[in-house]
Amino acid sequence: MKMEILERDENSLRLRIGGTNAAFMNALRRIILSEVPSMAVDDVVIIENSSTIQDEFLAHRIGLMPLKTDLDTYNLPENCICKSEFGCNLCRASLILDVEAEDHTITVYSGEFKSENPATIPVSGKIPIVKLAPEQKVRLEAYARLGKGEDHARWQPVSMCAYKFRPIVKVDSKHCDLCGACVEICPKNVLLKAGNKVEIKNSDNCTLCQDCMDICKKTPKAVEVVWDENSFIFSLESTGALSPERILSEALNILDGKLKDFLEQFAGKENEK
Amino acid sequence: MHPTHWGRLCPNETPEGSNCGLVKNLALSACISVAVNVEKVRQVLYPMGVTPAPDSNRELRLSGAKIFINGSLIGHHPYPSELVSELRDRRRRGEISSEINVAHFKTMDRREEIYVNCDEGRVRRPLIIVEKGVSMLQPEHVEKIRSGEWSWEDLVKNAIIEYIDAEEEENIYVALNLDAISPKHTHVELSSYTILGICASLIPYPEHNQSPRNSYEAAMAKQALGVYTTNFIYRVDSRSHVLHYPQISIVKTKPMEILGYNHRPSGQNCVVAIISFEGYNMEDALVFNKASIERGLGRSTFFRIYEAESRQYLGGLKDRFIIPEAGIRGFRGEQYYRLLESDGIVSLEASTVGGDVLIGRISPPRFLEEYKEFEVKGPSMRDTSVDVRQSEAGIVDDIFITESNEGNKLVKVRVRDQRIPELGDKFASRHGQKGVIGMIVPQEDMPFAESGIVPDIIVNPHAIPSRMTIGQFLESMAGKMAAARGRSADGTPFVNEKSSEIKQTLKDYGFSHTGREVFYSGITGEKFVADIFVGIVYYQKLHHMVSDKVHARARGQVQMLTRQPTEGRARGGGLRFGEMERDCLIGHGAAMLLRDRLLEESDKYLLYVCENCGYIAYFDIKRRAYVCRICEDDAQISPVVISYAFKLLLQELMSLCVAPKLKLTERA
Amino acid sequence: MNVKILNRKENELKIEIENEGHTFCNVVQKALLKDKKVDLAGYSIPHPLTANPVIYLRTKNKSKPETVLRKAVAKVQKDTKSFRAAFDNALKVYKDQATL
Repeated sequence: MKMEILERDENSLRLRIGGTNAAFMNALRRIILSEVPSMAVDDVVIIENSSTIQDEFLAHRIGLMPLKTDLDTYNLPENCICKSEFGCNLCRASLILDVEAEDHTITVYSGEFKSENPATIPVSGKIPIVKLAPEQKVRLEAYARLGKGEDHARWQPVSMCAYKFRPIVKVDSKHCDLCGACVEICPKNVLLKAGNKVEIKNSDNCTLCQDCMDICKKTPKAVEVVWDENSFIFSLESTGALSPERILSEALNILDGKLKDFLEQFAGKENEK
Repeated sequence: MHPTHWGRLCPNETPEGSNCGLVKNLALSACISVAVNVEKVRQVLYPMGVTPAPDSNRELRLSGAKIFINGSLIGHHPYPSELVSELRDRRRRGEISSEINVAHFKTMDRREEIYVNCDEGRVRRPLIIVEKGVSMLQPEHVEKIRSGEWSWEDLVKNAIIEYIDAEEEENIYVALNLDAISPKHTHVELSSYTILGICASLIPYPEHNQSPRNSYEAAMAKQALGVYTTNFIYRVDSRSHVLHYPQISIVKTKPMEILGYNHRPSGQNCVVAIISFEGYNMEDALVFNKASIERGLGRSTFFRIYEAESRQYLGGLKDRFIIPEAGIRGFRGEQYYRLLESDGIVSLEASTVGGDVLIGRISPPRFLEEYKEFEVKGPSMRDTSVDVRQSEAGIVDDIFITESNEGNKLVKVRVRDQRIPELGDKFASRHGQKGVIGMIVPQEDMPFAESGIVPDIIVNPHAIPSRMTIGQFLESMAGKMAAARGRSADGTPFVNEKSSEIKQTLKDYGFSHTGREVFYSGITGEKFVADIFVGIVYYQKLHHMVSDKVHARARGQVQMLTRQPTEGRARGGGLRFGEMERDCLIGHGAAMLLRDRLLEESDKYLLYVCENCGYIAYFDIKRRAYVCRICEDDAQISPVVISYAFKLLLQELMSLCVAPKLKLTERA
Repeated sequence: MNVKILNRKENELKIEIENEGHTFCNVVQKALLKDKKVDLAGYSIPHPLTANPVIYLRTKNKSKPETVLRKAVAKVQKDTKSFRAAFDNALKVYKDQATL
């Protein structure tokens, strides 16, 4: 399997991968979306809420805040040794919000949460939670837990995770009449009319829409767009809860775990029979 | 429809079904005339040369034009055309009321008539006056309005705009827009989209839809949830819905701004893909993205008011708000009163389910007067508490304690229930494409594009061909374009952003000009062979939600009069097995099933009939037997199985002095 | 996950897997289909809200379905290992280039 990092920064990652198949890439993508755990608020105990939005609305918003996740310190609640519904400090982190508007309307931002564990804080402190008019108050305790995207979207560690087949764009200069229609129609500006031929500027940008092939009036078509079934361009953007590399690594672990688990179970059941 | 409806009545906004065409809605620019004193008009006309009817001589009556005010003949005039243009000039100058409209008819045999109308109830519409091929509305006037120096009335006063009713419209020649003005035109339309009414003006690209689809949307816009008024927290509406995250539609129409719809929008912009998905969006069902719903798509809250008044009765008796004690008549059980505080009213933010008591109240027994007659001490107080409706649940949102008109203590409790979209909730786009959620699919199963975009809603392509709602396609592409360029799109009827512009802008921002995108299956990971049409469409949540409708009954309450099951979900009723359903069973020959439905499960009744005379026999307590009053000893009483409704019919006939006799034969 | 063997015949094997979905079954199915010894391989999830997926496998000739299944799963495990190695390598290359 070959891999090359095309883009990378704090929260996003773009890779070119060769030597694998769509089912495998899809399995990874699905695991990243639904089974890589991250931290998010699960329970909100509201002590006082005189704001204009009702308790459950407020709790919904708090739950959707992405929290910085420390996968090594915390356990998934179902796997935690404490086995209690309320949780212990190994599977639960608490954040407290205590705000009151004094003499003018304020917007309460996510940065005003105080966390018992300085590592588990909202990824961004600028997420507006609620607006309070003078004399309105909100006091609550939020309990965050590790969870998976398959349970609720607030535990999805990524804002986006997708891939495409690696495009192969070919221009047949013998048949091309330089009408330039394909250059015009391409939304990603993959083709370029240079001098007396049509050149391919950046085939990786191609979306495989094949609009250029549709508009070419020649038979056989002078431009051809196909894709390599075993090469992919994969990108993901994290919410900030985890680093993209960590997300990928966890996804691979989880996939590995499933396969191993299956083999063990299968061997066991076989012996039974 | 009649040609005069143009600009006066909305062509699309009318209800379906029995009221179709009977209930109409005014168009946007139309207004209704208010009366002007007829005498005043007469006093204007006579000096202008109108000879009053009794005074006109034969010649004038034959050659001159007849002048009518509000349909009554008042006189004649020799030069009608001059009279008409003078009247209109005076109206434009402000010398006579602008409510007056003048119509001039030249009939076939050259006898002209002038109709002057000043009565109330005429639908009139404003038009810009055109003189000698030039519109009276010039850029400087527009500037004055924009700066606030001039208002609408100033335009009318300065003879730039005048109101025309249906009769006067016969004499004018209206240009559709400024470009179409020729020297022959007398007026020009303000804007062509004012022919629509309020609800139809919310539809983007309506001229591309089949007309009935616009009518359906005009009806559904009234069922959409939004924030109906910002003070809903202080109001005590008996039922209300509030959408949590309303959005202004990204494809707007110009009338929306004017109507203020954008201050209280009633829907959300959704990423909509058109693809058959796993068979769960057949027959107009929609497939929703589970993650989108979890992030708040389509969430709403339902509020309901329960009220109780502590009335005062004769004799100093009155109701009391209190937690009823176990001995009281009608005591429900201790658990139902668990949420009440010491004053008998439920505590705030308490979580309630169907049956829980919200306001504990005890009332004195009814008909206490009758008991006093017999010197028997009447029964004690009974429980008349107000409880949560059986099929509903919620959290107590607010409590209002006040006084009724008679001075009695009045308690109103508002209960709220968060409604998260579930299977069965009804949603619709703005093109008459309504549908119920058929499946909620996890985000990873959804088709995804290279950019990671995943649809919020998946619509079945079969919903399009027969309905011909091309407006939805255009809205989808315009929405995508608007999202890409960061500026909303204009979908106003007749003056919208054309599809060629949309396609070019889509291409500029990196999308295919077809509106389709390459999608990969979320389940297999393979690329779909065909590109999928996807865009942003404004979807509305309608207030038909499944939790308000789901209902089941095995056995339950029956009505007193007919002993048949009660009607209505709130009363735990049964569903009617109607005449047509009965016909189906007859057609199948399912006699036993028919009997089961109509007798066993409904109002089966054993009636004792005297075979001799055919009348109903009654049970004599002292003799412990059924006797027939009429036949006494000849009586032969036999039981018959009938429906109670039939026995009721017999008794009703008897009350009309008609004698229904039953002839019995031995059971075969 | 919980694996239940539903049916086992000559060359056929039908297993039910609890608490898994398309994520696991699809990648196993595709790996099975690559194997030439496999005659039929598929899975079905009768209804997303209720049932568990069922994988069905039929092999050709003398091959035992269990072996083939184990081989396919092992192949996918190799893929994950290879992916991880390739990624670590790519990351190293990227970081080296960045420092240059």
